[in-house]
Amino acid sequence: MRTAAVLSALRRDPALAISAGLVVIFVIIAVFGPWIAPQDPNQINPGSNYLPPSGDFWFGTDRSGRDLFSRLIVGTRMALLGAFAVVVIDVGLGTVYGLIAGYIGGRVDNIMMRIGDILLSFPALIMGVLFVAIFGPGLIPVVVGLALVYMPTAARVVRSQARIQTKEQYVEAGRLLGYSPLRIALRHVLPNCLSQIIVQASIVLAYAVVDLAALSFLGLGVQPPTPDWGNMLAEAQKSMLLAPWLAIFPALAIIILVLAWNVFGARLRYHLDPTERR
Amino acid sequence: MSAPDIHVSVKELRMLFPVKRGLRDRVLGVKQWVHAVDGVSLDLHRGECLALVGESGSGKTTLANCIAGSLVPVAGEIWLDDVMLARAGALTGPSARERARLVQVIFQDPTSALNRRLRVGSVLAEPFLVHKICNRAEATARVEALLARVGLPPETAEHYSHELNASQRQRVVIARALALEPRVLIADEPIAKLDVSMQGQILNLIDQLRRELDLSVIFITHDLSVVRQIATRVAVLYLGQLMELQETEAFFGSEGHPYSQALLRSTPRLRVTAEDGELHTIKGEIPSPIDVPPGCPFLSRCPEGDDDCGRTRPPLQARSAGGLVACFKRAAADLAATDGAATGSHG
Amino acid sequence: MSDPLLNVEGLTTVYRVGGREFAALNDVSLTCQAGERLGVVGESGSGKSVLALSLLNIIRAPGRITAGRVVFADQDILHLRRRELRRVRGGGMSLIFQDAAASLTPVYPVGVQLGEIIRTHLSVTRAEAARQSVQLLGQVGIPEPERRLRAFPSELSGGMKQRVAIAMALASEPSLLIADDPTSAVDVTIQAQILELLRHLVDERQLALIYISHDFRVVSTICERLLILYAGGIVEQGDAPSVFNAPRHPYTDALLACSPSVEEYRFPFATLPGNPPNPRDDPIVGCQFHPRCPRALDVCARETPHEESPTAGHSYRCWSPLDAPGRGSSAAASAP
Repeated sequence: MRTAAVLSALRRDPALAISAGLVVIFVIIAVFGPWIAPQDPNQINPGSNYLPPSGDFWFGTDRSGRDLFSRLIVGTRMALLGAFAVVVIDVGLGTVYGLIAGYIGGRVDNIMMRIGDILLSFPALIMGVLFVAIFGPGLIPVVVGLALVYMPTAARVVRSQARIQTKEQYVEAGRLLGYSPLRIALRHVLPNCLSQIIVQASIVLAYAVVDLAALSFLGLGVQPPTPDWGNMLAEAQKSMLLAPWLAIFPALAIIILVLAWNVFGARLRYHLDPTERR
Repeated sequence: MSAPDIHVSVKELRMLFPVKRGLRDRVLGVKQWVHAVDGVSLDLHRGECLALVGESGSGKTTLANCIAGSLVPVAGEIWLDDVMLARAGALTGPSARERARLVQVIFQDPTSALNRRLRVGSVLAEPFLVHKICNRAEATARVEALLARVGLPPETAEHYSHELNASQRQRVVIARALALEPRVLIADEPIAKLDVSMQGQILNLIDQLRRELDLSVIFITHDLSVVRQIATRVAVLYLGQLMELQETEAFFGSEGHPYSQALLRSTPRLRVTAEDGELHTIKGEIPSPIDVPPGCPFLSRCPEGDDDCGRTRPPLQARSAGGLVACFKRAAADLAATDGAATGSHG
Repeated sequence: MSDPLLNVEGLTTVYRVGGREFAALNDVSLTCQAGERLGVVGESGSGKSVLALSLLNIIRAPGRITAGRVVFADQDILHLRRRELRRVRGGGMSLIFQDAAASLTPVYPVGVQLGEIIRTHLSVTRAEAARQSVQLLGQVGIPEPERRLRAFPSELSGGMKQRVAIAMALASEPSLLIADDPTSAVDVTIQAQILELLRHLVDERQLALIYISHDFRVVSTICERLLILYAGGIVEQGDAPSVFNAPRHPYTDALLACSPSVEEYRFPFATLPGNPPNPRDDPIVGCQFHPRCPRALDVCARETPHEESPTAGHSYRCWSPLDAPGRGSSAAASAP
């Protein structure tokens, strides 16, 4: 019944089908990248530096003669891994935070949401920079910093849905049946917030890809020589006029990934939320 | 007449809600209160079905929520047999879990009252598991028994609530309320969201359960045609105050409180004649419960009221034909009819 | 008799549910004269709300009107251009929704919303529209109409909102008012007031009223002619006293027997067993009501009954009708 519904949605909604297809392709590339890549991404080929795209090097080569295509493919893993980590931490924390605020309500809710507002007022990149300044450069501090900045948004989404659900009579029924608040929150309210949480996750993932790339671009995230779209762009900047393909292909990769996730998130929201369909 | 067996006793209950204030009121320090329940004393007899009647804003649901333990009264007491359930500012006596086995509620909107992510079987098994009445395996048999009790086939357990129709959903809500074998059942407009064709089934079921399980039922409604069918006694509320308390037969047979009569005349009839059946309406709407005037709360809409009614609040008085009414006019009429025999005040 | 204001013939509206087509409205024919109050009674799922939308030709996907004619004031509603249709929707015919709050925008004062309709339909000045708004609010029984113009919908009670919704429906000076259960969310006292108001407005303005409800009691209080809808089809129609006092169709009879009554103790209630047809199941052959019908014959499961009209002003579709004389509270519906 469920799989049938998913299949029929995919058939009727080409935007969902295409974006979901792209997302799946990106995930496959991220997982199997090193085996798919035609060359070793860190293989230096002296004498073939700054080659434009050709049959040997589909997307050209960089300053050290490394194959850009292979580097992009292998770099997908870092892009997605980082973004997924941000999503897991962000949505995990945000759900707990939002559920507590939304379920308890009143003054607790007010205070928790104001704290969230303060966190939200940090620009994501500044928070990333701050965490790097404290813990040193690398993927982990950047991921944690971004997740913290995004967390209030996820919390707010969960909280507002939890507020709505808490007003439903099944919650009152649970209280009158002597169920514990924890039980009502986890077993009754949370499952009814799930579709919003999934949608939020897909939106944050797209943001995280961009912000992670931006931080790598600044040299704060993934460190060279590990291939990463952000640091590839940073290098490309130095030879923009000489070898524009070095900037174009990583940028395209980011754009396509973000676009695919955004469309996927939007269509997912449409299909999961019955009120959107009317 | 033998003394009634009192099951739940509500004494001088008062429930206020603060009015949401604008900036101006906050600055000026004005604090206003909605008098949702304004000093109500009421007994629920064992095994009876007491109808709480009134328009929205009359306080009937607030009163029921106090009895159920969802709200903590500001003043007054609620007793169940010899256990105090609540007094001013606190729930007393039993814990939430113990209370769950005493009083349960049937909600108005069965769609909202059921978690749409759970199958009916899980919904009905949960009370048993939470209260450690039995293990998961035994719960299945108990769920089946519950479903049978409310006239649903055992397969219903496999369904999600949205796969059922409104009447079946309400049966599931009733079954869940019965799981812990409560003694008191509060039915909060349980048929208001149902088609007329389905209302009868649910009313029959509630009545049948009351008799079979010896439940005491509080039935909240604004539809007097339903009251006539299911209630043994009727309590009429207006602006949080008790206007009339009467046996059902007498309520429909005698000249009651002017507000009761207004409700009665507004209720659509199941009869049609060749000429237009005139509808008798009462003017206006229930006033704001924020500034309740000193006299009779119904005065602004009462066709019989006069200046005297605006001075003091009429006390609940026993009527010569039985029952209680808070109306100077009815009390005076009774007095005149029976040469001042029965005018002892109550409460 | 002059041509009726509204003449509907063979109206059929089909919805796609779970991959198959389902007739929410099946071959419905009716007429309504100016000044007439027509009541439509049906359970949820009977197609009564679809009927209201179909009359206005505002059926949206996954539904569509597949057959029939709706002629209103000599205009073929189903074949009008968009622009003409818009004029009819707000002007000639007005719809009062079940949920008054939903037909009011929460962010504008009542006066603005009312004025907008008046100016759209009558092209008058802002000041004139305001004057007419006050007049309308007064006519629907709202006290201090000048002051209420500035009120936001959230500041009004449920009854007041429903009155404003009625004023909005009247603002475009329609000749037909379609009311889709407008009192299902209000107290009996307010319900009585609104019914009285509608009756008064219909008389005063010589409007036609189509009042749709699941509640027999409400419809019979206000309507002169009744139409009983079951599973998208009209099973019985006729003058209110005739249908009410001597129903011929077993469904009408069962519905009457089910209704709670304030006049008499009729406990335990007769109940109507079973459910209306489910759009997801296979379509029912023959009479749609036969699986629930206590009087069903073999023929009922084979052929759709024809419309019979033995007496003027009363017709039904049933192979096994109740007897003509006598009152309708027979034991057609089974007691539990």
